[in-house]
Amino acid sequence: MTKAIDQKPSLTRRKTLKTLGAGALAASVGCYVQAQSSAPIKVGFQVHRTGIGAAYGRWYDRTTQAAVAKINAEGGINGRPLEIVAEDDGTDPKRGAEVVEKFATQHGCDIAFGTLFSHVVFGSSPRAGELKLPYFVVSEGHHVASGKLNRYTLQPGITDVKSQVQAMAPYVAETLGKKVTMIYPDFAFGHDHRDYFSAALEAQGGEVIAKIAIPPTETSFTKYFPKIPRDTEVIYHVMVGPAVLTFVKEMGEFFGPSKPQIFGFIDSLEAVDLSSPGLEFLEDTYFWEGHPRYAQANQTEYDKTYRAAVGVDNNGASISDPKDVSTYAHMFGCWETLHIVKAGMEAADYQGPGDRSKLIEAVEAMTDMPASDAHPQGAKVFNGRTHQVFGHQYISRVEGGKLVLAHTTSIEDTLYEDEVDYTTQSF
Amino acid sequence: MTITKRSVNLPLLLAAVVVVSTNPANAHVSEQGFVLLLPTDAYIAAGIGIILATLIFLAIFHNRSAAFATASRHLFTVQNPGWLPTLTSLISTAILATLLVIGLTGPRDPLTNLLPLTIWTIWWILFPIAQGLLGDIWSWLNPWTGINALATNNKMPPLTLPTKLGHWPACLGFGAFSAFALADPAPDDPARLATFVGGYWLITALGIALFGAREWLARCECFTILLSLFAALSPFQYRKRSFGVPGHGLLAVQNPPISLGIFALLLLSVGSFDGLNETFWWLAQIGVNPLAFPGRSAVILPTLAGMAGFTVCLCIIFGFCVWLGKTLANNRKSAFWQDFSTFALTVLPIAFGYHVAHYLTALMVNGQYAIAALTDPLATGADHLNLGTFYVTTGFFNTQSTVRLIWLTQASAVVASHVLALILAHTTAQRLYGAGRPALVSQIPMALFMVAYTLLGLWLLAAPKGA
Repeated sequence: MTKAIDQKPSLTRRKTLKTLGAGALAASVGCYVQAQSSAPIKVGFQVHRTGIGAAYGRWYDRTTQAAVAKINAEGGINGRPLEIVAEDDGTDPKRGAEVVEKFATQHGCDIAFGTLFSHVVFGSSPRAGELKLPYFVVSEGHHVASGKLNRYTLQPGITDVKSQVQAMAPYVAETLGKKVTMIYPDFAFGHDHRDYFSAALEAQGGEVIAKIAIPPTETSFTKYFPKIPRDTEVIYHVMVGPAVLTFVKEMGEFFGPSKPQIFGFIDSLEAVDLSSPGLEFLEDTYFWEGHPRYAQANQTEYDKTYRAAVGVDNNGASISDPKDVSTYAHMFGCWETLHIVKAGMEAADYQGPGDRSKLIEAVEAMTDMPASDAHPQGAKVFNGRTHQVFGHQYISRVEGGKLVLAHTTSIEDTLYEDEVDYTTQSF
Repeated sequence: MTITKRSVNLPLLLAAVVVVSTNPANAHVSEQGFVLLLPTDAYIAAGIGIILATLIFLAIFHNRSAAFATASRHLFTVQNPGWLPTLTSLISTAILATLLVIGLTGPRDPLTNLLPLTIWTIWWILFPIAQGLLGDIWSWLNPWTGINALATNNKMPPLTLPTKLGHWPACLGFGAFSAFALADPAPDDPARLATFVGGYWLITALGIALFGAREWLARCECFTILLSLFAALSPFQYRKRSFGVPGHGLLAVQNPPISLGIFALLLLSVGSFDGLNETFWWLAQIGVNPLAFPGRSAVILPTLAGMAGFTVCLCIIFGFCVWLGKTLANNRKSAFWQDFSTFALTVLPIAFGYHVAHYLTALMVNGQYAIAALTDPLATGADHLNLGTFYVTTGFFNTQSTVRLIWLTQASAVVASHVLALILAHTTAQRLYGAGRPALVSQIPMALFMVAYTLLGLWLLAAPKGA
């Protein structure tokens, strides 16, 4: 697969002059600028406090607060502290658009940030574009890179599902088996996995020999397992919702001790304790993880620092309650996005809402993001044209009720052809 | 602030939900997952068994059940100075005013702002439970009577509330409140909630000023009525200075008007529908994928229609049971509507039990947020309660043993409340239709209703949920 991520054009000459002009003006009204420069930078945090995203929202909030505390302790952005203005979107697209509007018109926020659920991103992004409010989402949806959104919407802190899924194919085909049966919920989420993975596996010389779509309302799965072809070498499952534990239990009962290789996405069991009774069947199976939940033998100092800041132990659970498992595979995106906002604002010499387009251009100009305290999940490469970041993916094996890292994909495994060039859109 | 139409295109959003849904998840998905693994069928059967055993017990000992249900002892009494309830009410008003200011100007996050946490978690979830267990505290803490006493010096109000209005204004008020709580896209939004709460306080204060606190609170102010009815379930009945079997206070209510009976059924129906509307079953009825709930904005009309429809159905079915029981007892002494209202009050324990069961998990989580907000009420980083680093946890949803304990606690509340309702209904039947066979026969339809409702309540706890 080829994928070119070019260096973004730096700030245009005209904009640079504008910046210099602004600086001269600033110098001439020193007192005003002094007042401005010490004022906090307001980040409108669109958080799923209620609704179906609330479990994720709680950890997104915790990670965000930890990132803000760190950034402020280190001097803030250009000497100005970050201030979070959190608004609940109810995990509701219509409400999401209203919240974005409140950030821009009521709270005077510099940017909006933090949305996870794709339908809320979809509902909010057009309004952010109309209001010219930079909107940094942490959604892992392919909607940004697909070109369906706008220049004001960026996803620089978390990879998208298309790249995640396709990056699994080389390891699955080479290590686990080439004949794969997919079991997925029969709606858009499952269909994305089906389509992205089927194509990627084919490119690796493998084949999806059966696609078993489960109706979303199903809560018992025994009748579906006999549909798994006998020559299946790998089962790829991506079930979600309250019946996931039942699915795992029934699959375990169906196969008994002689099971094929099994591969899943941790989305199914995000924030679920893997040592829970009934999940023993998952032993020796594999999972995609956006960020390894359990501290690994080769844990980086960055991951260690990040865990401590968020208050997460080596098992990915809260330090205050070992049973309170975090949404570790996703929430790093909040931390990393805020650090990118900091880097972008500093590069653009961001002074206020008038510099929003400069901020976007500065982020669009970013490319390599090495692993660091700002990027504890690992190194990444940002594609300014598609407004989407690409990074390593992790495949872990369940051993003794814990996820042990088995493989780290290359960033190249995650790349795909550009589907949009947002930089051609005007501000 | 105005939201322009062009910013929100609902059909487009719904289409987006269908087309792009890359991260479905569920609030407390692990709890739901463990519930589905629990032997809930066996638990439900055991619950129904307890209800049937209660019915058999009542049939055998029907001569003694009334004496049991009304058994109470005199509580020793302490004379309170007359100004004390005025003072406590004034303190309550001051706290409410402070909360409204926090709602309008404090943090925008509903789980950080003290107003939504106080209104929804402490007052709406916890306070009715306290009323049901400890008796009528609300008459001391409501935020109107104190200020009214000061303003009017307890003079006669200028107007008289028409008798024929009954409790219908309260029914309307509670219906409107329920619509806000169940269907509004953002009932937790601090500023929005502050507007509603402040507006309701003003309307009530005006009603009290015009018609007097006694009449307005007893017939129009839905929360005072709700809390008084729940307090009547408590073993402690302060006005009568008695302590007795839970519900003995309710049996003392004579000839309730039809509007009060409907109000009681409204409490039950809204409470039940608030659980039903989250189930896979309901979401399938309204064509919503339970694994990709599109948000409350997308289901406002179905929710309102469902709530209204469920209430009407409940009233019709309940009315039919009362009519059938009355016919079987061959009773012509009392009017149907009188019997309907009297029996309707006996479902209040069920409404209370549902309240406990339905909100238990929300209380366990949001109660922690309330503590966190109390220690730092203005989100300035303060720690008035000296809690140190305080992380809210939902770890109890992540183990089978704790989920089982939570589920059985919820189920116990549902079953116990039905047992109490059966006892109250049986005692009421004896009063209305006389002891012996007529009362027993009249209770057959009501007993079937209670068994079916127990089944519904336990099924709601066990059913997979997606909203």
